[in-house]
Amino acid sequence: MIHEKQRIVKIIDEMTLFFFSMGAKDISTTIRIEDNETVIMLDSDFAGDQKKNIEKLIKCMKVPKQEGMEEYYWSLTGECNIDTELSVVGMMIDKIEMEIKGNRIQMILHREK
Amino acid sequence: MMENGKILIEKRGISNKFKYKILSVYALYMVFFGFLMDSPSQILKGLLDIIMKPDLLITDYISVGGMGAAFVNAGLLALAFTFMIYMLGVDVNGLAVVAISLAGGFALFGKNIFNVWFVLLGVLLYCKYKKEHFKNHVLIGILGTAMAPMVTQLMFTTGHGIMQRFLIGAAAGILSGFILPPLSSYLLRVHQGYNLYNVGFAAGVIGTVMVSIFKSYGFLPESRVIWSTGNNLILGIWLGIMFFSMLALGWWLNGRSFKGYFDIFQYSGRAVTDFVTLEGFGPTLINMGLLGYMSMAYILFIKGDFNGPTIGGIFTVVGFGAFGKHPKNVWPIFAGVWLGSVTKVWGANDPAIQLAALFGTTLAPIAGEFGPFIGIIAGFIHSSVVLNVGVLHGGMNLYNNGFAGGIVAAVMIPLIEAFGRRKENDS
Repeated sequence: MIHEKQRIVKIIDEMTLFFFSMGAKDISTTIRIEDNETVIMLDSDFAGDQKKNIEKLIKCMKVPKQEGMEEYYWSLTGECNIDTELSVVGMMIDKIEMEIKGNRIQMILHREK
Repeated sequence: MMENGKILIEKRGISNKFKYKILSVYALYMVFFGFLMDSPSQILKGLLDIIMKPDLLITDYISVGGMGAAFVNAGLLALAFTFMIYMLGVDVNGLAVVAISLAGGFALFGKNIFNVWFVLLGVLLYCKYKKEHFKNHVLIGILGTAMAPMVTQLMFTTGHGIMQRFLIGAAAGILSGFILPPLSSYLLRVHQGYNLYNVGFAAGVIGTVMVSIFKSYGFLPESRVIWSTGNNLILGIWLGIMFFSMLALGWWLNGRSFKGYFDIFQYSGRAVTDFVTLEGFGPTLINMGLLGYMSMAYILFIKGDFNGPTIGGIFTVVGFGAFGKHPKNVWPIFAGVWLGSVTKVWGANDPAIQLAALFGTTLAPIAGEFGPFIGIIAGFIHSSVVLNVGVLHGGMNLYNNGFAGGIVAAVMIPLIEAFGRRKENDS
């Protein structure tokens, strides 16, 4: 797959913009490249009641992995500061773990090679 | 507040078999209608005319080959593409619905069972060259057959020997398909997904470059308007039945209810908004059926015509009902184009303006994101731009409105972002 590293960066861009839209002021990201997958760990705070945004996030992460869609649309992720492309992130990811602790959200995104 | 703790996220599956059956049934509905309208011998003769005569914008196949041949051509092409993506194992998502709908629609005015394959061969060669799966690019390839009239034009209308013409036409089609995937993906960034017909934008750019080269060698494509009239009753009934079946099937798949359908209205429609995977196939079909009736109502309101090009436009609105369009973001575009026709030098039912309204809904996400007023402005501007960009690609890009829509969005979006509203957290 071409532009693999750029695609990982774009996923992080998109997620970071989304966390900012939830009022985040403390975001950390870790990327781990393994033999058969890339693991992206995200940890962010959020301000106020973000139930609606988190439900939207969950809905988009449930979108099935779709390589054809990714091939065409991956470049849109992380580009727009008005709207989100979370569903494209969902299409680019194989497995997601998510945890909410108070006003913090932690996500682990697994992207197989 | 959300409850604390781990949240289980399981990927939704896509069940394809049923959706493939539905796509095939609608394609067969077109073939069946074709055979109902004309005899097999008339259809065969009409198909030959459709294949061999020029099909630059705007060429209504109903005028060129007759009603029967036009619909058989459209149904067979939609069926062939459905079978192809089925064999490749493509998931039936919103984009797949769009690709098949547009194949059927544009096969009434420009794509035919002969001229599309060269562009697809180009996409296949690109995949071989890049060692990528054709499955991942085939939908873009199908959409990229917007450039098919270039093949016909070079093969059947230039004054060279038959072998030379065939090679030139085939080479132009293959080349445009070969460069389409990287170009269309890159050009998305220009309008940030606010122009839904991005392949049309890319095809317009490719067409502009190619026609510029052709013109350097003295080849001048002639503009044309072949437009059938007088079939509103029969085609209106045919369309009405199709959209009723979509509504009914959607209602049935949605648990015999319209509940939840209006959730679709919350989306701006900006690419990527795949209603099939986000909201399900039932609500998507309801949306498609409603958009079909809405498009028909607009054409009847302006005293327009149901014919090959306008049905192509209606199918485009309906197809994108699976991928971004819904009544709430479409009506401002219709209104903008109509308002333009009141104040500008043309009428709402001039052929190109009828198409500008239907295909102009490529800008529906602007209305969805920034509200109906901005959407009306987008439609208003679009109707002027679309009449002036066709000359650049000589009518060889069937998605002329996608090309114009890309330009309009590329101008409007940065200005709206700079001078328009800002969200609270975008500081």
